[in-house]
Amino acid sequence: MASANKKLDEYHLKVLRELVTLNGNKQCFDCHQRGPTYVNVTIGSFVCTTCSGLLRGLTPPHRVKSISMAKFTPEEIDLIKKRGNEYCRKVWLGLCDNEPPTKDEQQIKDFMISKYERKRYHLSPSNSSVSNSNGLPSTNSTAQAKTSQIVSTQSSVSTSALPHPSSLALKPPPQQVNGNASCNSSSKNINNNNNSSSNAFTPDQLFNADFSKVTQDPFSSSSPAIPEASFANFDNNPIFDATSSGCGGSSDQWGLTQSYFSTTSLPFEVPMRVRQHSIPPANRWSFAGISDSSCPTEDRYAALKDLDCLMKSQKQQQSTPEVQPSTSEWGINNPGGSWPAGGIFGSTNSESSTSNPFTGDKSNVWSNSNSFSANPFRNGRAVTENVWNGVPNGGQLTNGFPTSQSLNFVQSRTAWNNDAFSNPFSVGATSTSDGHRSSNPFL
Amino acid sequence: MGLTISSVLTRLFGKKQMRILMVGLDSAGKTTILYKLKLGEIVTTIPTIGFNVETVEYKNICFTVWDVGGQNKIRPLWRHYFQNTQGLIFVVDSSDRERMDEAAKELQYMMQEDELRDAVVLIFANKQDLPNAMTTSELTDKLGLNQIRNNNWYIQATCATQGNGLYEGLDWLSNELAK
Repeated sequence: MASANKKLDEYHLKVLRELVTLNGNKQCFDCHQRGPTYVNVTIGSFVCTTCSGLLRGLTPPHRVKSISMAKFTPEEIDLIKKRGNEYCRKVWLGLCDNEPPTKDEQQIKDFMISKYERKRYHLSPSNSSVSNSNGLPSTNSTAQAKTSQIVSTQSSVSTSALPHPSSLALKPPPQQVNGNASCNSSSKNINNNNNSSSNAFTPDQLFNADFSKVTQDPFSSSSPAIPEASFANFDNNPIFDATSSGCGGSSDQWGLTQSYFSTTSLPFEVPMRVRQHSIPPANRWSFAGISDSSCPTEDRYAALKDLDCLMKSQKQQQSTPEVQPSTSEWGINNPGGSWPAGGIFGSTNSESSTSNPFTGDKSNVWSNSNSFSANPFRNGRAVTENVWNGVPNGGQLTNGFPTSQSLNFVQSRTAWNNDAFSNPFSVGATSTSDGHRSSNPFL
Repeated sequence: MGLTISSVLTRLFGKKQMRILMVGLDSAGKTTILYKLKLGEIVTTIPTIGFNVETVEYKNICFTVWDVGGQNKIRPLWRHYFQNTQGLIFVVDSSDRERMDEAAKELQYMMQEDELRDAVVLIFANKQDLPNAMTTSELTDKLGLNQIRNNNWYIQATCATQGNGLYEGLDWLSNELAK
């Protein structure tokens, strides 16, 4: 028995020694150092000692075994025979264009995290040939192809559902669990968002991937033409995802995007709008929307919502649900127009029938003209108002908030505003309330 | 002069020494634990070939901790470190359910070693932060700790990367040493 085991071990060792001399396996899969001494039996690649150590530190850890100091099971040997570095390159680096880092250990580690934990470059072997046939409209741009592939490798169901907000709602949103009160209150739209954004990704993964794209090319990835409803969803989405889920862990990227937004000054607004129209593919919106949404954080959002409710209640007290007075009120009191937008997006469920834009035709018109800025001129006005009123506004609006936040609040609000205006509304505006209603499954 | 002598005496006799052997399956977290205790920080480790040894002072006890590589083919080397070992730390990866039997077997082999008859056994149920990690009571069962008759044992849930539970384990060791 013991001798049989020993023979098997010897045989395994022999097989491994042969495998490691194959061309693809001569270098460490993760750092390209020559002469791998370890086997990553989780994915079936050959790695060096250093990388084997790094792989053990991933979450979840990969299992590594020394070629010379570990015993292998026949199943493990079969797996390694079938796979090897070439195979792993196609699968785990299937979507990686640039050369992975090979020198700096920290870089290698970071790359491993995006490679294995976030699966950013992962191309499922079965999907590698079908990656474009998942029903997503895709262009030839590599970035887009990548996005769709990333999504497709995660879950085909969710991918196919992606472009259709209505079908998204069928899936329970994973983030819902973490959602705060305001999230629940506006859960209808958020459902959509969460579903589309968090398909099979962990929020972390998703955000990182998206943000990196955004930071690389914020404008080209800006949003496509989609109905208002889905936009609104996305707008809401990040708020909750970002705050309630693991975004803190990926603070580096998060920080990047934030800085991007805070530095995004209003002048970009118009270019963004223009550019958007030149971005055709509808699958773009998946991350465009998400990137948009990264601006407001939970607190800010809550503040918006509170203010919104306050305003609404005031309005209700003051006047009958007439449209005209309220319009002026909004217009005057809420420079920047971001706030009506926030109100509408954030608390779609707000009980007051007067302010709910989705309940009646009248109010729909109202909401469109006011907050959605279907009217291009309106948009222009909002821009200037933001520019001039930015800080004082923040002071007003953020009463009771930490001052450190108030500045950000304004910035992000404007950024958010940008998005609101720059987003599909320009297009969605044409469809106005009808388009809205049809695209929102809950109305 | 007298002060010097007394300080020398204190240094010689005041501080207790304890020789600790830390073993366990590969990638259980032994080296990470060792350097977390020694340096208070998480180092990037590589699979240990041979051993690491460090002294850790805690509660006026100087623990000499031997951390021996746990890969399959070098486990037979563990026994060379048994001599004079007062405390055995057995580290298990609580989330590695597949290999829990293997770990139990290794522990049982060691418990039969004559050289370890006087050693106290501390089990670190490591990686408690991972999802699906087994609890200490589950591990007590799986590792057959209740069958250990000759040695005092104690199981401590730990998370080496956060440092949780490590010093609690050392507390128990020092208490055992004082007995």
